[in-house]
Amino acid sequence: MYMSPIKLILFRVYTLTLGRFPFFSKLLKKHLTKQLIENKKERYVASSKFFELKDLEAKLK
Amino acid sequence: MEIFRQIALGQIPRILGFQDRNPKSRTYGCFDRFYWHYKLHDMSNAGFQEASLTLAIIYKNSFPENIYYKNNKTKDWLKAAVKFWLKLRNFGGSFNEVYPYERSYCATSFSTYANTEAILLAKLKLDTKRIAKIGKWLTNNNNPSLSNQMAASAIALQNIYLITKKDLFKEAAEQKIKEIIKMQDQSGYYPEYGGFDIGYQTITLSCLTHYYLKTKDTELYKSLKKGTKFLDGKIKSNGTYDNSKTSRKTQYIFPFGLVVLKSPVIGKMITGLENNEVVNPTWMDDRYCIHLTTNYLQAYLSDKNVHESN
Repeated sequence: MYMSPIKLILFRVYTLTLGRFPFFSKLLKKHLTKQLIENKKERYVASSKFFELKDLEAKLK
Repeated sequence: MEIFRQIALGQIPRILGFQDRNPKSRTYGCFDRFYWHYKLHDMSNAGFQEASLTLAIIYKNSFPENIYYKNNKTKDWLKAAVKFWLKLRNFGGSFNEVYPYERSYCATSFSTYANTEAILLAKLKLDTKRIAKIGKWLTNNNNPSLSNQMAASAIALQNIYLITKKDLFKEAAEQKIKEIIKMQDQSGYYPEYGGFDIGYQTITLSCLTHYYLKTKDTELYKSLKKGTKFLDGKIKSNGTYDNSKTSRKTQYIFPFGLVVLKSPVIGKMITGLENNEVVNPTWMDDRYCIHLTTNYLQAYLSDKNVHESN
């Protein structure tokens, strides 16, 4: 899933309104963790996918 | 260990360039260029403020080619960095990394560890009430799926105890350490989403080693030894490793804990760094080069201090 201007606006509206309250903030975090990490075959990890020398030899999947 | 110093020092001009160094600016001290300079983001990522610790280390430690040692400008920028970090705090004591009102456990734990360590190292005088509020938030929150964040919050709480002298933070740190030891797998790894991850294992080991050096907790030492041993045999002779089966697919090694615990992995890592074969701060993006550069400096200095005291 990629971010788009509309998605970003909706996301900000949520975070700046309901997201102010810890309950809704936690709910959003739980949802994002499930969507981007737990339910994904390839989990999102911010500190990953840096270049390595082995990338020069690896075949693209 | 010279290679850690060389690589880290090479990153300092880059990291200083991230910072708003204009004292008249509203964002003086901010390290998030996407926010203060490009103005592409509508909030500043608290994670960037971990650079406070990088500045504190270069300001306080004399070592070859460190032109920032006891430099007044460096100290001003350090103070500005910590003050800006405190400004980013949410009402309840947490910090945001990705979006407003996020209350990120990761950003709160790591940025608090870095900034409190900087405060202690440079003996900065700041409002302890504001720091205590962060401590209360960390005490009341956990993320047991991720050992590295738990370890960062434990050392952050220990530092808050050292700053505020309030026992409740020391007790909260001890509690988190107990939980981490309980979570550790029999084979030695600290779980990350239920499995092992080598990069995060070394981050956890680094955080826990900092905690151990401040408390001399013997139970933790046993756990650290087990955690270090887990890595033996998993790292190739050039310091790289196969991350295809790891839970978070990281590619780096944070050396500080491994240097203090005298892991054989460090020798392999140095070989790889000397041949420019290992992911290191120069290969990383702006956000993550700060974290790893600081760890390289800590690794270099811990080894240097051991040699100087012998």
